[in-house]
Amino acid sequence: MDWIYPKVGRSLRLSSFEIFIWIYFPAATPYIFTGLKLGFIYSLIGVIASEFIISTRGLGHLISFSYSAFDTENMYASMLLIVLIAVLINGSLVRIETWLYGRRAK
Amino acid sequence: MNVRRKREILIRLGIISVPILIIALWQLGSIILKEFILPSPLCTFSVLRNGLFEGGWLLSDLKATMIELLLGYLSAVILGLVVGFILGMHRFSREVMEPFVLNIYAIPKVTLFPIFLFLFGLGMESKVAFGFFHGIFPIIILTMNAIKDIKDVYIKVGWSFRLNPLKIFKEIVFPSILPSLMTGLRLGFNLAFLGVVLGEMAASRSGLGYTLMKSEGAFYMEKILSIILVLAVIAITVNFVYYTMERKLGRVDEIRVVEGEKSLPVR
Repeated sequence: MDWIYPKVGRSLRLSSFEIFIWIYFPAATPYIFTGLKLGFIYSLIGVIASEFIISTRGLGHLISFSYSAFDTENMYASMLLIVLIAVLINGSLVRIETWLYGRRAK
Repeated sequence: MNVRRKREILIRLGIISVPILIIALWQLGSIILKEFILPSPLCTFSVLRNGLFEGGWLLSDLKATMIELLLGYLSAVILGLVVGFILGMHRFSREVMEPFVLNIYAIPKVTLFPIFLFLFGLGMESKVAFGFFHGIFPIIILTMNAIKDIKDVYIKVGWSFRLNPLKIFKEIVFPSILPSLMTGLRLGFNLAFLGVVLGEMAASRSGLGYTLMKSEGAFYMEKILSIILVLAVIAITVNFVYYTMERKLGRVDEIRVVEGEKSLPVR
């Protein structure tokens, strides 16, 4: 971030709190959002993976259960569901993110 | 100068003190939670030493995992680089494939593991394939974006110097993509490792992940912790090597490159 911005804040006699709210936070929002998005993706992966390995319920469990039961149709159906959920959520997060970066560039 | 040197020493001390603190916390936890749930570091290390040297219960698993990892990772690197180069240079196929590749990168790939089991069976092949599938996408994405981001002017300068294509690749393309290539290879390694161990944990007959799950069933916490230690040491060593190379070459902004096209304002 450009150091001129907090300096402008200081010249306008903003308090540290105001500088944080009006300058640092808006400047960091897109990056924070990218972090949130990656965090979401990785926690989804973690949840599904651990459900897949040991659990008693959940979509990941459904897949490994239908696999062991040779219930192939159910297995592919739940796979498709998870993939759709992941792609949908990721797609909307990417939209928001692009909008945030675009707004910042102006 | 002196102040800087002092600062460096302080940072070194800080870096060393973090693992010591973790081990201290581990010891404290094992006292509070009882050895049965969280064995003490000393106990774990003796089981680990037994596994690596005298008893050797770890060695065959370690070998299986390393072979799977090596094969999966190597094939991911080779194919990832080739596909990344093609997508980077050919604009049409990049624009067609990019959303697809980025989305596959984001989905939890464990869900597709049963397909690998159907295709490759319970043995090592399915883990190699799964590690490959995990590792290839970051390598494709980073190579592709690195090639795309080379400025046209550089290539044109090469042409005006009458360099042949091979020379252009060697003198212009390769040096400019090298930093993000390193990042791609590192991320690819991490994900390939994840894929291999995950596959072993889910369904297999050998490997560190398999023994980890077996010890989980038998509630043999010392073994679980020593396997975790072995996995951590492998991951940290490889990452350290890549990190050092990346730092020498100049780091790239990891998140920005992985996330693909984002015209950020210059910072």
